[in-house]
Amino acid sequence: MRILLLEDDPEIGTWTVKGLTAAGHVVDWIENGREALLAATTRDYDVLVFDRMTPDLDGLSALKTLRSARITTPLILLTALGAVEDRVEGLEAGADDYLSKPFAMTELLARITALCRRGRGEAAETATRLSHRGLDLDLLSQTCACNGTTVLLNPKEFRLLEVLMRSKGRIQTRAMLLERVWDINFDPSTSVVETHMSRLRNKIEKPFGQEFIKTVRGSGYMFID
Amino acid sequence: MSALRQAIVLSLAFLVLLTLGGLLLDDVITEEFRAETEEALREEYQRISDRLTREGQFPEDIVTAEVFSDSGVGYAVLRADGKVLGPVLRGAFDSQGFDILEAEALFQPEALETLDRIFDLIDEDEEEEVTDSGPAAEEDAAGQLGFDVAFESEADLGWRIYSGAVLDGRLLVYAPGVSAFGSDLTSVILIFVIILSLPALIIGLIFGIRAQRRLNRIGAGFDRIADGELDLRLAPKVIRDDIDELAARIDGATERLQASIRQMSDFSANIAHDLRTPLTRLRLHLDEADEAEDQTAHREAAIAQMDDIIAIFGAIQRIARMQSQGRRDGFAAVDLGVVVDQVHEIYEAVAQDAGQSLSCRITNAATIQADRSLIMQLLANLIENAIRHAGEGARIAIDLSGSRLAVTDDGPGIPEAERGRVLDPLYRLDRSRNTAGAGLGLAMVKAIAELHEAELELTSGRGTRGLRIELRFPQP
Repeated sequence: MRILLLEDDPEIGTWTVKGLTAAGHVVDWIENGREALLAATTRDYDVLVFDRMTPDLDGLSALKTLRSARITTPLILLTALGAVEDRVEGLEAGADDYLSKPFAMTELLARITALCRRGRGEAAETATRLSHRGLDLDLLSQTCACNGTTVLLNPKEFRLLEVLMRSKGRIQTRAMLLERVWDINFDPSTSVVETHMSRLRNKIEKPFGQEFIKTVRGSGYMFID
Repeated sequence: MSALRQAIVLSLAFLVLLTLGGLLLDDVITEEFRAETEEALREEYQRISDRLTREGQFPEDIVTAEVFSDSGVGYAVLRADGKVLGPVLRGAFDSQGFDILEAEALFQPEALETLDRIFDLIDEDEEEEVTDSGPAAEEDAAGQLGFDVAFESEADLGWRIYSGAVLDGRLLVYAPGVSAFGSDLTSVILIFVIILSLPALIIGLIFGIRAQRRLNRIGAGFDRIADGELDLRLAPKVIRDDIDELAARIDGATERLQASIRQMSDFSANIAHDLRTPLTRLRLHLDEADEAEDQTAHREAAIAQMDDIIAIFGAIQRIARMQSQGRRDGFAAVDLGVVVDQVHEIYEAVAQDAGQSLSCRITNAATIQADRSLIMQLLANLIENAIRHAGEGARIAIDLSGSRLAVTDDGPGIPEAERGRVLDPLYRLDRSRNTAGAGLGLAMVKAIAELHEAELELTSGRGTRGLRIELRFPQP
């Protein structure tokens, strides 16, 4: 994927470019807002990763300019300000996702992948049924069946499984799951994700002796493709 | 020096106003006097004219005593044959819109014939002429004067004359005017003002200097406070005026500032302490990773320590943000019942895994103006705090009734003396316990509650055991 990175800190920039390149992406790294805006409007990118505070023109203003010019390339805003209102401000300005510094490379990669899928409509949000390896999720009747046997899931477990299945083969980080499943934008000090994940696995994996979900150490979970 | 200047300006303004007031008073009194004199003259005129009419002729002689009665009112009669019985007057004018009559005209019957009444006021600046004119008039009309009136003694007074036709001649009634009295009053007022101006200025000066001193003291105190002397209090013992009020307020502000600075420095010390532990561990893991064959475990442990540090910073940042207030723009109508339900759903399983139970009761859930995600975090923090500290087997209950939200546990609770302080950032009951970030949960609750103007109260749970944290949100 072609990614435009706007980041003025040389160390973070180098580290991010290295991480993204290692994951197979092609990265253009620009250190100032004005040039990044120019690049984003003239060249074709799959994803934009903008730091919020940059010299010349800050990332947020660049983003607003882009959106007012009807350039809808998915954009992730990076920021050192992690407070909720900054997040809201960023998303309202047209950012597709928001990541506060410091972040783990896996988190950024997971979010970039999720964004691209969404951008290309591959996530098939309109599908009413998700099926994979014997696991069936009927989104209309909110029922789950494994190898034909009905599994009783509570609404949040169902939503958790749905999020994982929609992004099968890709890592869903803890933070992403908290946001998407439970609508939590802060970092809980207890094992919220782990607890619910283990309950879900106890329902869909244990009885059938099958592994659907993989724990990716230090980053999150993945529905095995 | 503005207070002193102000006091002096005020004193001077007071003097000017006093003068103006005096002059106005003078005017009013003069007017009143004039009216009274005129009334008296009119009555006297009526009395004499009635008498003359009754007797049918002017008397040949008028007894002096009758002319100058005790009241000071006198009269003169001008007979048809031109003989004048009475004093000589220089100028005459009418205060009620009649014509001005020269003094000489008083002795010319034809001139008098055209007038019904004459009022005369001899101005004080003409008094010299009056004294002079006495004899002069005597010369001019010596033959016409019935008798001499000792005018000199009264010459410094103005005279008011009332005149009219009686029988075939004219009758003049006169009395000392008020202009002399008026001029006396004016000078009396001016003298008083001059006499008063000195004490007024002195008093103004004294008050000015006093106020200036007090203000200077407050100013100097303020400077010292600004220089960091936060223990200083301006401390007025008795509140007597606005300056004391101001000083007391400055004291109050200083006290709050001192408390918040103390809290801040405690906070910094606690942050330093909280960060030191994960940083030390981080260092250890990195050191050991150098020597270890498999570095993965150390690396992961190092990352976990880093995550702790980041979490601490994140929470501190959020609290600081909220304490700076002013971000109520994101508020919207939030159904507390929905939020409570949601959080209960999330944490029920977490509590179960920790060997505890989490129950929830909702009655008449209110809808309030709030930031939904912050309310979620607030409730989550309360529950997480209970899960962490209430111990195994604890029963935790969420209770929402209207806009009152409470989380109760039956754990060890918090001693009453400590309850206020647990809400401070990073304060921990057990300083030896090392759970990263745990000190921030309740501080965050407090910050969110303050932002929503909710009352926050910590009490013991059931009986004396446990902890109950209750929030009362303002009713919409």
